[in-house]
Amino acid sequence: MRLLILLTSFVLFAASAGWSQTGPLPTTVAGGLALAQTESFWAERAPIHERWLLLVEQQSPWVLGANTPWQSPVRVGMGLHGHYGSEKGTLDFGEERLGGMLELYAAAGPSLRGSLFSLGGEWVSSLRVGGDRTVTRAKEVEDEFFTFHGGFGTGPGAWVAWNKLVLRERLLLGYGSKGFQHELRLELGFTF
Amino acid sequence: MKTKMTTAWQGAALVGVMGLALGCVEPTMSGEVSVRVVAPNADYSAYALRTEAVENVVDVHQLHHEKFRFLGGGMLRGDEMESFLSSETNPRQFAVKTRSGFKQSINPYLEVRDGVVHGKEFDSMMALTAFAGMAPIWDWYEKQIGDSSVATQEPGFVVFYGDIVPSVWLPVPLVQMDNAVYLAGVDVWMIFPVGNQEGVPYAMNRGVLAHEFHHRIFFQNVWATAAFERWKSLLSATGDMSSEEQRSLNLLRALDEGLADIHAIGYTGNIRFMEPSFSSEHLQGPIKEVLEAERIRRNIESDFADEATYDNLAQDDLNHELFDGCGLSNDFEATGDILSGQAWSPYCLGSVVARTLWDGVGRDHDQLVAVLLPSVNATLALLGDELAKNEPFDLDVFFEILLQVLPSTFQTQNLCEAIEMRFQSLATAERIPSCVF
Repeated sequence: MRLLILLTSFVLFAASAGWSQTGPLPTTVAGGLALAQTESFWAERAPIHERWLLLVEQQSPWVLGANTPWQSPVRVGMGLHGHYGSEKGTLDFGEERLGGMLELYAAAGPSLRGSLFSLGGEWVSSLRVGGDRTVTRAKEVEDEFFTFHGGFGTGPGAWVAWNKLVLRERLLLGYGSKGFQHELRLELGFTF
Repeated sequence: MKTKMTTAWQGAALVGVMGLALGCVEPTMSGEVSVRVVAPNADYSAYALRTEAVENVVDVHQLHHEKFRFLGGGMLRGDEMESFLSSETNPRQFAVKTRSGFKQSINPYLEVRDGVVHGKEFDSMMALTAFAGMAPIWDWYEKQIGDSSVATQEPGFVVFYGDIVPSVWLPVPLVQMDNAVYLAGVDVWMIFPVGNQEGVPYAMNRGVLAHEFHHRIFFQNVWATAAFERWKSLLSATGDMSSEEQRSLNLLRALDEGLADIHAIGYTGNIRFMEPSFSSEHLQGPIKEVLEAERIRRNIESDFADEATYDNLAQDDLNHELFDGCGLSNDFEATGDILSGQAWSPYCLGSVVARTLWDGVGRDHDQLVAVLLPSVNATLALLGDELAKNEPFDLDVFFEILLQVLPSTFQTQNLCEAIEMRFQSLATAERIPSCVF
């Protein structure tokens, strides 16, 4: 408990020390692909599925560890995730699924600026809510279902930027309405 | 005290309200439950989404029936099986030990609409469909066929999407798709995900489920009684088995498959019960060719079944257009007998066994179900006693016991003629004295 208080105090102190950051703060728009796996009701061999991402990320005035070599601007973002799949079952007996999620996240981490490129690490935490529309089919008969789900994830990321172009990788581990989940993301963004 | 009780009550109420709000608290649905599943038409030739009633359900949300329940994934390790085979265990201990690697309950994604339970996505629909299919099949074997063995009297387990791995040191699953199987010894049925097949997934085909159910009946009647030690030694000896013992095992596997098919025909009343899973307009390429060949070999009135016999399969005398796909024999040159090969497919000779029984009842489905199959069931336990003697097995042993078990009112002439036609080298007065050849 003491350790937790100490760490929280340090983070708040570091953040408040950097609150005064002024001037126009960069915004990044990124798109990408996530390979995600969620526990399923049979627990094993839940299939990996892909999701497409569109993210808008804004650097906040908050900076962790301001004026230190580990200076870490806090960025907050909002994302839209979409996925579509029809590979389950056979063509006559199977399903089609279309889904989307809204994500809110925060990320912070130090970076190094070189003459040719910048390199950074980060820790990301996200909250997601969304829903699926699933159509099960048997020949020409179809049934439609809606499922709402949510969850959170947290994990490390790394990025490299060439001027305004940024390539980013994130690994998020979390828990949601279907159990444990993990996902690997690759994103390409533009900062302005 | 009052404060504590109030807090506990408030806590419970809060959890309940939160559960309801999140949709987590589902009322148990038991007794007779209506389900929306992929089910056959009256003659089992076509499948569609239909609403059916399942009786004696304990909890549909866990796919728990009074007679059986579904287990989740997990790993069955080959080297653990080997160590169990070499230890002193009875069939029940063996099954409990090997089964413990699977998740002991599942909760598929179900939704209740107007009192009818639906699977909300494909995997849940497949699990619910198999659940609905197993219940009447169980009843049929118990009441119509008269099985009174462990297979119908003890609880059954269906593993949904489990994995089989060669070793605890090599936990890479052997990819299993497009299948439903019964694992003897472990005493579970396993349902695998859909991969390359088209048409009706195997686990949704009631004939396939009836076929797999009979494997449990065969194992529990034949192997899990007096012959259990022989079964364990056969399985643990794979690789250094004598040619004679390999042949016995091949013939027993063929008998197992053939009986499973003829019982599935009995249950569905359709000799082409597998066609909805083998045929589809969407099939293409090599998988289409493989399934087409299998479709012909498993149809007991096809060109293959018309021509194939015990002797022409053993001696490689069958037209190869029909024969290819039955498997290789790695020691045919040495033994001159394909049936003693390790890579032999049991399904080809199995179709010969099924065809023999089908012809033996004059292709009369009512006679098959009312007389022949109950007698086959009564034959199995006696066959187990024979196998316990550790003598080489051939199919005349099965036919002779069956002929003795059949009621005196049954006209055996057709059956004896069918045996003579399909098993000519075994059809002698010394081997099958109950027939006059």
